[in-house]
Amino acid sequence: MSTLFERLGGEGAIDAAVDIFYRKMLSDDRVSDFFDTVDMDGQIAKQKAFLTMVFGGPNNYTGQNMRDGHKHLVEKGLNDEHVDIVIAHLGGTLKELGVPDTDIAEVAEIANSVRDDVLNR
Amino acid sequence: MAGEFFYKEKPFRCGERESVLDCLIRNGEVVSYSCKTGVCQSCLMAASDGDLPEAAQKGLRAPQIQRKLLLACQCYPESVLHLTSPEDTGLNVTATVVDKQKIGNDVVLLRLETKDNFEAQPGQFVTLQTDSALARCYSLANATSISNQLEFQIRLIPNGKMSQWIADCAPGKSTLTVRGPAGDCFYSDSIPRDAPIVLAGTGTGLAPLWAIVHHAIRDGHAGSIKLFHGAVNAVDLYLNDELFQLADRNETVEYFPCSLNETTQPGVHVGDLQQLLLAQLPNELSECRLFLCGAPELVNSLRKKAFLAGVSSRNIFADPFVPTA
Repeated sequence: MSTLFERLGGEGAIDAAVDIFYRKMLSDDRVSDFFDTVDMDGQIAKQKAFLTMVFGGPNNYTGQNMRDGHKHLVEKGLNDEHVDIVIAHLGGTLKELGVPDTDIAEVAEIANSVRDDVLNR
Repeated sequence: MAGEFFYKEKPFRCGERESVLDCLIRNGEVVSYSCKTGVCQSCLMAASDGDLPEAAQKGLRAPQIQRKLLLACQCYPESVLHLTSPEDTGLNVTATVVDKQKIGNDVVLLRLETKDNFEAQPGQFVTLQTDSALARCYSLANATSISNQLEFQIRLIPNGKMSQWIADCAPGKSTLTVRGPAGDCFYSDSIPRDAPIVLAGTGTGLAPLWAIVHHAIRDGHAGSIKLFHGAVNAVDLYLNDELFQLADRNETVEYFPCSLNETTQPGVHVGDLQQLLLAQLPNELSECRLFLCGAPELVNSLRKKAFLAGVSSRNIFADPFVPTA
């Protein structure tokens, strides 16, 4: 039985997904303001870390990391609706890459599991 | 010996299956890190010699690999490595001003000579420092590979402190300290020779682009090369004649000078540099290498727009010239 991370294609899948995913976020006026485009390289690295986590890959993210990392965004108004949009774009990205729906659901589930930490509640 | 390395000249030895990062943390060294999985790149370090394990450079951009940068959290040394922080790399040497020429309305070409050869790629930047500790960053604008002569295209700013120094300096006498190099804006070995290259800059953002275009031509780059230079007024498009000649001599090279204000100067586009560039992006977007230098607003805006248009993030090399506070 292979893991989700292996089925998705491991690190190669993250490289393939990160540009598609980040492009979707920057093009969506509902969430684009939460992304700093001055330090684009830094943003890309953060997206990769996020994708590694939700793809079930090796990561050292803790609930506290998630809280600290998003606190300033929650202060700017980040809420459940935005998290939904991010998860929808995540699904759209994986669909473009030909990932089956069952695996997309599993990714969404991991993303949902950190929702409360991200929203600092 | 496997697992041995030096960090800032201090010796360390990794335990079994211990990364360089974990070893440094265990020994109480202050190092920046975050994810420890090779993703966030917070623990970027530089090696001066030794064979780098492939895994330690995974996910890095081509110029970083060429500069021997690595991720400490993914590094399990197979031979003795000498590591330091990326800021501490490079040289710190004295250079003498050997030439100073006006090449534009308010732009001078400054040529410095170092005693020994200076290891750098044309297009990277260095810090120039005067005896009175005045320091500014400038890009290496050499049209040839770099030996012991360093060329800069410097805009003289009214009341600028470094501008005043440069205006006053005497070729053959005045000296500066050169620190560096740094930056990823250069023609790296890993760029496929048939990849389309697009370069854009405003003002003296042309300096590194001038160096990169010449480097690409010298290395026999076969893909198309499109160079965009923007200015508020056409009179500030320095090296305009030279760049038209360069494009005439090389069929792969196209030059697009662009002035915001009206001009009667032949061949100069009037209008917005960004629109002009986005309309000229090559069809092979995923292969395109994009170099952006100059005014931060333009660099950051173009980087975002080109990325949204389909240029791969790893193929965009940007060098915003942040003004001195």
